[in-house]
Amino acid sequence: MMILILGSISLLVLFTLYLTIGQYQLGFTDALSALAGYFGHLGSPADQLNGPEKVVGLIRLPRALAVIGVGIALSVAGAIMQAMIRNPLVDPYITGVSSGAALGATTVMISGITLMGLSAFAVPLAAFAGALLAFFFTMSLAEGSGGRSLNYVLAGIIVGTALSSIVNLMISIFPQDVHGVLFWLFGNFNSINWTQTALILIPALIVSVIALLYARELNVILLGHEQAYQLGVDSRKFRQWMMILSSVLTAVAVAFVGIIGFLGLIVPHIARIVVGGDHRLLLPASMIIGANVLLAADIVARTATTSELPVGAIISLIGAPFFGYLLIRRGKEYAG
Amino acid sequence: MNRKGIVAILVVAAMLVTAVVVVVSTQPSHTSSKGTIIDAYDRQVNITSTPKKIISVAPDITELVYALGAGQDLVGVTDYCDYPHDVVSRVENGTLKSIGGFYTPSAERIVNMTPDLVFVSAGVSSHRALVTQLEALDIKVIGLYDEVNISRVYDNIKLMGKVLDKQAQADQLVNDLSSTLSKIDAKVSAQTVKLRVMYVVWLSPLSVVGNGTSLNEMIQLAGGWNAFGNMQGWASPSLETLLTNDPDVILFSVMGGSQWDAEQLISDLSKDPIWNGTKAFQEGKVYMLKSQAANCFSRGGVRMTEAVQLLAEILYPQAFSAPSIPHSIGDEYRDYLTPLNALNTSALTVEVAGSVREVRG
Amino acid sequence: MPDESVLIKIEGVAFKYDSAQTLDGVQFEAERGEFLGLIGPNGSGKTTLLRCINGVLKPQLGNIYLEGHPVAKMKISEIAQVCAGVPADIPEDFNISVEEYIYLGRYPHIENLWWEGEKDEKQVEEAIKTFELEGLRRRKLFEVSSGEKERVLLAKAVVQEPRIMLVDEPSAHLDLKYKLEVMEQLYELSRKGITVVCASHDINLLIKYCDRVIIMKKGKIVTCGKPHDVMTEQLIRDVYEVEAVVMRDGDEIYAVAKKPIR
Repeated sequence: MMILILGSISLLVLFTLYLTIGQYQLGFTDALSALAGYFGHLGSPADQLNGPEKVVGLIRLPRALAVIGVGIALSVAGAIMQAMIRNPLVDPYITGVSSGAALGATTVMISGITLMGLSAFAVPLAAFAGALLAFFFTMSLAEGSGGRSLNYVLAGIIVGTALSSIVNLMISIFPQDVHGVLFWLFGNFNSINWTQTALILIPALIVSVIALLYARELNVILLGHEQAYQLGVDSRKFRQWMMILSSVLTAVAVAFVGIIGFLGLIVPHIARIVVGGDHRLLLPASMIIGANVLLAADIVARTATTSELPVGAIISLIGAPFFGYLLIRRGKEYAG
Repeated sequence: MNRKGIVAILVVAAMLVTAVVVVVSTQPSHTSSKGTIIDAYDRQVNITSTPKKIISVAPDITELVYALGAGQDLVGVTDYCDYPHDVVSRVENGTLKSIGGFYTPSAERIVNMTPDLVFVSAGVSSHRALVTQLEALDIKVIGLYDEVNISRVYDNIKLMGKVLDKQAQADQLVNDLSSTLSKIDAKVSAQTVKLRVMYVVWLSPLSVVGNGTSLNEMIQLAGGWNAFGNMQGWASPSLETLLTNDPDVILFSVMGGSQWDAEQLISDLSKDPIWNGTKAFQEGKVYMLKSQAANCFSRGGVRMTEAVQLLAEILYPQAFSAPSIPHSIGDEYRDYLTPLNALNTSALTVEVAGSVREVRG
Repeated sequence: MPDESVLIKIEGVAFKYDSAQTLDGVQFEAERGEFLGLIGPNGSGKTTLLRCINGVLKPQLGNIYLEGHPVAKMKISEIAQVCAGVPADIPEDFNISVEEYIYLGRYPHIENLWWEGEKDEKQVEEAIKTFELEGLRRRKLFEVSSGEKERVLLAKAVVQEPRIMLVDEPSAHLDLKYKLEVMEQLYELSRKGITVVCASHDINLLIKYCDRVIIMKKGKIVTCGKPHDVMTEQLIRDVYEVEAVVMRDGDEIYAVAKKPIR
């Protein structure tokens, strides 16, 4: 409970900080009045806005919300996967979703396909489709070989490796496009606009809420297949459903911003150390913590140097030592 | 409340919202009118007045702006824009600001500069998303064509000329460039033997320029023959292929920061039995392109003709009354470009030539 | 017309696992409040039979009825409301407190969307009292001793409000005192009206408490009946291939092994 309150407060602080800090110099009060000005002008065309209002309302605000959306999506997806696979080293990309997304994005970037009026969506759409396709392959392979957790892990490795190698082949055959592809792969929020934010945040929130509705089952699943069955939960069917949810969340996150690693792995662990293993607390806690961590990381990514840094690298820098500290302090309670 | 029911409602809601957002955002918001320009992304952009504050998001775009005589209207360039020299000095004294990197231009900085127009390149995949972002910010953007060959370069010159209301200068520039190329062609087409050229972009793995690249076309325009023209794009030939294709002339290109020591590299490679076996090494026709010399090849754009000429002079010195070209060529490359007869004094040579004097000094 | 008193009815059930015929022609009925013991050597099919009863495994032949309803047609949530299983052990890495674990047993009955309700709390509190787990509420499962763990497992099964309890090897790793204690608990539960089917290797312990005993060998039921009636030295010789002595002491009956038959 405490963590949710603390987390929300911290989120608010970070959010305000996010709107204030950036390449465009703004003071704290300026940022707030720009925000108010932006909302005041909602509905009128963009040329009515002044500079700060544009920056805060059209660049930073949507970006902050997109960051929160991705933070929530990856953290919930990671928590679900860790419950499904019961292994602490699991992250949401384990079903090959990231490789599928990379393949989709790379194909479009290299071939220069544009979808007529939808050219702005060509890469994200291809990435999303690639991600789900990869998951589909993984699920078919896993279910066909028994449908146990281990099958999913192995199938995910097979599919992920296969697709990654195709991506690598494409990069070596067309090295002139390497920069663009690599940049996408590192993950960044550089060119987020309101449309993308809506397409990230709304599905992320909705699917996360759906996952929350099944928090109790996620607890029951931890008893193992047989005991879960005796309580009335078909763990195999449930696992399929949860994997789909997790993959959709991950696909949404990856489609627009590339592959942000490490977040989906460490946030559920941090949340588990703080609130324990009951998913009715763990999932909301993961959401809050994930949003906070990614928001903080993106502030650094945006402002540390003149060129943007890949936000995934920043996460590792922030998250790993903090995680290590928690592990040392509360490691005994935390048995997996 | 039935949980399955809630889930079903949520899923449908999510899909509906997504569909609505996509449909709404793809509504074309521009209507055709007099000042409408179609850019490289096939977008219709309305230019009502001549842009006086311009931002360039690529080095070759910056060079083009200067070539059309609009250099002083630039307010923002990337960290990598360094030619002509005026760009460098203006960045130093603060009259020209940086918008960040080539792949990560900062939308915030762009907004801060309140530009009238931003030029991006359709050849850079990350610029597409920037276009959408800038459109939302109500900043005009024009996408220039990916310069895969010389005709695209001309298209860009004309497009920018139309946008900046410098059509006369644009036409003049295109004329100058094409006439330069014809003059070069006149000299080299007389050569009976086409020399085989190898253009190396990276040493490990060995990467050369193959068919379908702008550099390939430049080699041909210079009267040469791409020794690796049978491979596509940026190709990685094996060392065996190196011996088989046996180039007559090898050009090593160094871009950006990594400064290979030309003498060291060439001397190391000349001890290697495979490299040694090539005609280029045996006849000492190995060259290293650095800094601006490398840039004029790799960036293409308006300096494409300079690159072609330089290469032509390397290949067929007897056709040009050029001074002997050293094996390591850098910023001073223009010193070696002999004047081809009856070249018009255009904005290009005045502007660019003026800055070269500063480079040398 | 389903007989109210017949809780479990098994007819002609056969189950095959790969190529091994684990169950063959199994048939019996269990009444309400009956304590049924299930004994037999390793591989006789005891565990498989338990798993078939609550639907985890589906037999290829035959029918199983719980309270008159065929298991094959029941939804998994419906089965969970009738039948609870007490496992032999719990997953080692389970980082959960005793109280939370017991609450898991309420899953088939929880009505609220999120947190547990009053009814659930009442059941759990009662179980904690019955099994004397008050002091262990907040303790983590992996910190609890074997004897205490057994009570926890029973508590979780009990809060499920089952009419049938399936128990598999409840006393395998317990010392004497706790072995008896578990059996006492199960006996008490059966007196309260819960049908208990308990599989165990500990013959003496089981036949001391159960109303009827089913002896299995190689997937078939050898015999079924009151311990006093069916436990004979010949039976033990046939089923276990062991020479034994069966002693009666008033109401009690004991079987003591002497030596294996070569």
